[in-house]
Amino acid sequence: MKMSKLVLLAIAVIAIGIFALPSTVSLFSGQHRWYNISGTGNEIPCIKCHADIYDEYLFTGVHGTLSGGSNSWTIGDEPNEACGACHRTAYEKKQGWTYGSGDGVDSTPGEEAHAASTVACMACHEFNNAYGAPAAGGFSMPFNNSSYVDPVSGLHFDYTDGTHPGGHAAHQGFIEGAINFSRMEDANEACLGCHTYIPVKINWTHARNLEFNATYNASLNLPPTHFDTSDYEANGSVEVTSYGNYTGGANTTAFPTPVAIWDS
Amino acid sequence: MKRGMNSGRLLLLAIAIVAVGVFALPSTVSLFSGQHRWYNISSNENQIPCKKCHADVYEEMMSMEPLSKKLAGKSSSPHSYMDENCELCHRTCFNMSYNPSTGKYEPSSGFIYASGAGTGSVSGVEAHAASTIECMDCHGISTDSGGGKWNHYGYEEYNGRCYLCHGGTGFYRGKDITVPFRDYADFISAGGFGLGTTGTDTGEHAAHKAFVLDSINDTKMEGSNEACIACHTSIPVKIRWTHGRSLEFNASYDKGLVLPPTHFNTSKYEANGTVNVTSYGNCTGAANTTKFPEPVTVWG
Repeated sequence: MKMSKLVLLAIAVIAIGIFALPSTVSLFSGQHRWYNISGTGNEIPCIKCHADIYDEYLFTGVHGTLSGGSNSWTIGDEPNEACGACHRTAYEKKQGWTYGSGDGVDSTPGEEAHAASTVACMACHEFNNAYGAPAAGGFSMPFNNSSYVDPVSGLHFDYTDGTHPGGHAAHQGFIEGAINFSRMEDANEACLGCHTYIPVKINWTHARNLEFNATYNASLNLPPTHFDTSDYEANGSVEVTSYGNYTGGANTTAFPTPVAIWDS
Repeated sequence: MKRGMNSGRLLLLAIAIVAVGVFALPSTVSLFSGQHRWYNISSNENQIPCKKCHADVYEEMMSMEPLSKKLAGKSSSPHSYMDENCELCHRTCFNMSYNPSTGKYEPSSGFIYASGAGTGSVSGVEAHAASTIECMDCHGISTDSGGGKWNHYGYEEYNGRCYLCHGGTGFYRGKDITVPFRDYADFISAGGFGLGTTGTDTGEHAAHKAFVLDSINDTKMEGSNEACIACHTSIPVKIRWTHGRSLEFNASYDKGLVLPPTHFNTSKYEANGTVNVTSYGNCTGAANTTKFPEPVTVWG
């Protein structure tokens, strides 16, 4: 009885082997067919692994031309070109960074990055950028420092030029806080927070109340006003949390649903 | 035997990790969901959903009037219709500046904000998405003939949205509504301070003129905003008052006084001494002199 079971098991194993082994000698299908990367630019289909990003990009309202689209909000037929435009070409043009390219004797090994690097939005959207992309004008130079350097990328970005000095940007502090925060490059947290569909939760700490002195002044010649006001202060704090979902929906108790584009 | 069990479990764990990795890793390369889908900003007017980050501001705006009342066109507050129209104020084309030498608000060049996408886009000059603004940018306008300083009905943020300020019919939250007509000239002027907001703005009896002028000099907020928002919004206000303590004057008997039964001339009025009192006012307008009444703020 025991012997017969052993025989049966052996037959089963052989049977499986006949069908499965030819495919599993090579662990994955296609693993011995390499992409042609003999050209100079990126020829790897990024979206194969980043289908989620591709899906997001399919509905984007900006950057359509990077994939060959006829305008910003129309996606072209070359989505991988768009990946490369930001994650390779931006720093190639700005800093002369070298990414891996080509093959054989004419290949170039990557230096600062192999296939792709993280990228600061300002790499393309600074003033006098090599891309000719629209400059994100209206901000002052971060920290009032004309030679500031992003601590993540180690690069400087021109937030101003001679005719775009900023000075009244309500989001200047947002930009500077984002630069100081090293989760992403430069001010990307701020750029993405406003310009993309990421849900945003902000713990706001507002000043609670306005305080000032009102002091009687007999000589005040603004009849019938007899009080000088001075020493204006914003005192105390009130904490409010702002939740905004990907559509721009908002409230102060919880994320409106669906929260992310992947929840819908 | 035990070693065999452990090896099996280890293998299973490894397979599980690889399996999870195959599906999960590609999604986590991009730090945030949605960060590769940009808002379409191809129009010249604002298309960024400000309230995504400013839900607190949005809820304050929404709390001014019930939505049903707004949709019925019956809100008495023009600002209440700006709940989703932040750009009307924070990307305004109006820019009024106080001129100390004339004592009047006068038009200045408006700011240029970033707009559009791709070719034809405009880089912001003084501000990118939004600027802090002075209430008087709109409420200090002395005149706007349309073809004068600000041809604002052609301004992208205002085009087709006249009703939000002037009243009339417009498109609000997916439907046409009609709000009461408010006129075109001097209809939102903060007159009465002698700051030149209208042709007849003398301000000669304005009790709060010093408040406004001191606010202009204080740099905590733009222009006279401290005074504007202290009175016109729900912010709690604490004021340390220093009053004159007593009224003093002379009362001299004058038998020739021809106002019987009065026989005293009064003169040399003075307000002498000081009394310090602190005034606390909360978001609802409730008040006392010892501490803020509860709830202090609109947020409790």
